[in-house]
Amino acid sequence: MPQHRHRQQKRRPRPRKQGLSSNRCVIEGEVVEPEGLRYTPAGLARVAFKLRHTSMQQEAGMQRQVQCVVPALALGEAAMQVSRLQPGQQVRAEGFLAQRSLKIVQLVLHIDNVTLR
Amino acid sequence: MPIIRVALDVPLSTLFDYVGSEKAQLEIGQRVLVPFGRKQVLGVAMEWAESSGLAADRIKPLTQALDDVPPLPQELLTLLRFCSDYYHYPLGMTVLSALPTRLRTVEPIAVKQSLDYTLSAAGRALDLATLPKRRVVQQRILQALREAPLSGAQLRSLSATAPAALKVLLEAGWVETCSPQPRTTHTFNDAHALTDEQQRAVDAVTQQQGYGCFLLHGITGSGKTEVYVHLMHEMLQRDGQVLLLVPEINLTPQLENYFRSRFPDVDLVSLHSSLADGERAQNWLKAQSGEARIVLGTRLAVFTPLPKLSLILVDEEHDPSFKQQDGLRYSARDVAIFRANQRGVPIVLGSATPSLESWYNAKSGRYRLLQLKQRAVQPATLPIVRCMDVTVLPLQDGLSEPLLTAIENRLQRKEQSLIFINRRGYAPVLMCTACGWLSECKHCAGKLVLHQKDRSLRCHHCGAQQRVPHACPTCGDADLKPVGIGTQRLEETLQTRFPEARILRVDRDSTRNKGAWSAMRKQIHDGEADILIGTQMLAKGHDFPNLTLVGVISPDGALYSADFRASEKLFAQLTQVGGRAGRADKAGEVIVQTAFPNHPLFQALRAHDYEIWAQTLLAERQMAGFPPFVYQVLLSAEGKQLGEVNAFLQQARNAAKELQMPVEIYGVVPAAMPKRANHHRAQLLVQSDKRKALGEFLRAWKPTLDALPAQKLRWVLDVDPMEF
Repeated sequence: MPQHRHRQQKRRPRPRKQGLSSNRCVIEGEVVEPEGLRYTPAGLARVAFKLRHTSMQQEAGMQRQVQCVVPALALGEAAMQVSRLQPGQQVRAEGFLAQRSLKIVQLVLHIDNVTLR
Repeated sequence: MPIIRVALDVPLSTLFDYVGSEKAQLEIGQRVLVPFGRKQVLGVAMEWAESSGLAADRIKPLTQALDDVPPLPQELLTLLRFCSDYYHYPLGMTVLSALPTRLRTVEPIAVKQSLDYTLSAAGRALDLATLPKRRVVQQRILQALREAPLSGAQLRSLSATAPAALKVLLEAGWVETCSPQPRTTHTFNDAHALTDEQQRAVDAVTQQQGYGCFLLHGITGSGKTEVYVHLMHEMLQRDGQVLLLVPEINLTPQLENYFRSRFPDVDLVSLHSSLADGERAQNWLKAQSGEARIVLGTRLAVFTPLPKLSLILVDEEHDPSFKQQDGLRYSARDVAIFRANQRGVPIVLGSATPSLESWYNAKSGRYRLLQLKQRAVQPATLPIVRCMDVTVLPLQDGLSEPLLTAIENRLQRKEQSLIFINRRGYAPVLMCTACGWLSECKHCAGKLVLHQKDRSLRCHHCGAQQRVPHACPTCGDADLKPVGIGTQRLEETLQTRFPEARILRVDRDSTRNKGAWSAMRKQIHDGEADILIGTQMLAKGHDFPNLTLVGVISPDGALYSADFRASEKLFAQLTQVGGRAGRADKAGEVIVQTAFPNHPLFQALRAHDYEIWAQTLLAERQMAGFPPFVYQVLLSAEGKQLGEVNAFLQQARNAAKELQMPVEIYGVVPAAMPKRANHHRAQLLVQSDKRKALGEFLRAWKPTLDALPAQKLRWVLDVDPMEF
């Protein structure tokens, strides 16, 4: 696999600094582009989808409109929950943020809980 | 006191002296039982000696001379001595490894005498009309035996169920056995008229007096087999035996059936390692007695005693499987050439893509070149080869849109497609995209291959196996990704895309069970599969008439390879796999997905021009000083401690330098797979442009190697190495 040789050096997990471990994100929005239920090679359920969020938020003392599309990923039990959702449904999703991959810095919301709104 | 010198299966390059008792009628080549240490072991009597270097009282007497089978002929012993000498492998082990396993044991073997069948008095008196009409086969056998006694092979040619019917007739007492009649004629089903090219090739070989080496270069589908059949026919008429060497065990049943159908009453035996020990020994003995007229076998068959040998054929002579990779590392093709020379008989090397060594010899006049440039079945033309540039075309799970469309067309036309990918498993590696972890083998330098069916990671080098981890062992991310494509993944992708298609995956995993492969072959022939996904197993020699498309996925690895033969092998493989397309009356198409569509290899492939490719490669090899312009020997060592391995090779290198002989020494370098099954591997390459110089060097070097301390490592000397 010559094309992966540059990735070969083993990376150790970065040492976790005390007090800097907060990573919690809650967002509400509409389910868009849900991929079908898939499984990881080990057999764990996995669903990727996107959340379209629109709301009014306060910024510098003023009301403003906010919109964004958040790429999201659910594994295991959360994936089963997500797989039952229909596109267009309004949900509240909780989870943590992580980089898409070692090389792609795009953030992905890893969902551990999702509820219908 | 007569001293008999015996070859024993021990790693010492000497013969062992024993006292041959006067009583025993002992012949050279006979198997003997001798005391060795505290054990009794089997050996082969090699030569008589006047005296021994040992004191008389230390020479033990021979226990027993085994006379259950005839002694090995002198010619075979000479051949084995040559092999031992040329490949620098202990003579005893060479001789014993040439024997079928069953003959390496002491228990006497009963030589099955094949008998002829004739009508008994009762059978002659029998009125055929009284037999029930539906016993067609029995009637046919009785009818045939009225004319003359027949052999088992001749009776078998009457019907597929002849053996069962014969058994009934024997039990009824109408048929009895009799001793075999010498036979001079045979039936030859001359189904096809030879083309002019084929006829010229046949004539050239049959007119050869004594030794001659012919290189039969015929494009795929040009009817090389037909040339073999006609040559066999000619040699059988001259009362000779023919040895046909083929590369793969998988091909032998198919070929065996084919040759049987052409020569229904000729005694034909096959020899390969998947035969049961008993059967292999019987077939070997049949060859030795001269009863078997055609011997079909893989590389080990080259050591079969053949008293009436009159022709050797080596099919797909370029195939790497002719080179044994352990023990006596012989090349069956080269040994066959030596043997033909020694016996003064012609030898034909056949291939669509000859090895560069053979091609060079043919071009320089050492071999005679016979060419078949047309496909034998007239409407059949060579397939159109197209290259898809994967650097431009988007891929869906490794498949480009033009290839998918081509497959779809075949499905609509009810024709078969073959997708060739030389990687079994689901994906060659499992990766964690979050931290970069790769599924590496703990014991080897290679990666663990993902096998999705049983959720395991397997090492294809050492066989280590583990369950797929639930999460990355380094960072804990559960979202692990298979990287790259193997046969299983391709199967899944194609099944999703073409849910109606019947897909058959042919690789070592799906054909592991006995009989699985032949069942699949039948499925393919009966048109019960639409898409075949296969590794090199599918590339060789199979003729599937309804196959019109071959897709080749990621062949580029060979273009990066450190092995200088990789591109030669790739061309051979692609030519062969491409040759599967459109062999009957339908035009074939080959689609290659590559990142280098303009590489000379693919240009030559598109033009179906082996010659220009061979010319390019030969020029490269000459410039770089590689075989066939030099002769090589590889000393490779492996051991648990890298330091010890390197130290040994360094000493070997120093010893070689001290000899100051005209050879070039390269290394010490790590092997292509630097670690396998916890053993570090490294090597030393010695080469010379003169075979003789290299041989002389080896004779001087080998004793010093034997004397070097090497307790904790294994080393082997590979003459004319094929793998590095």
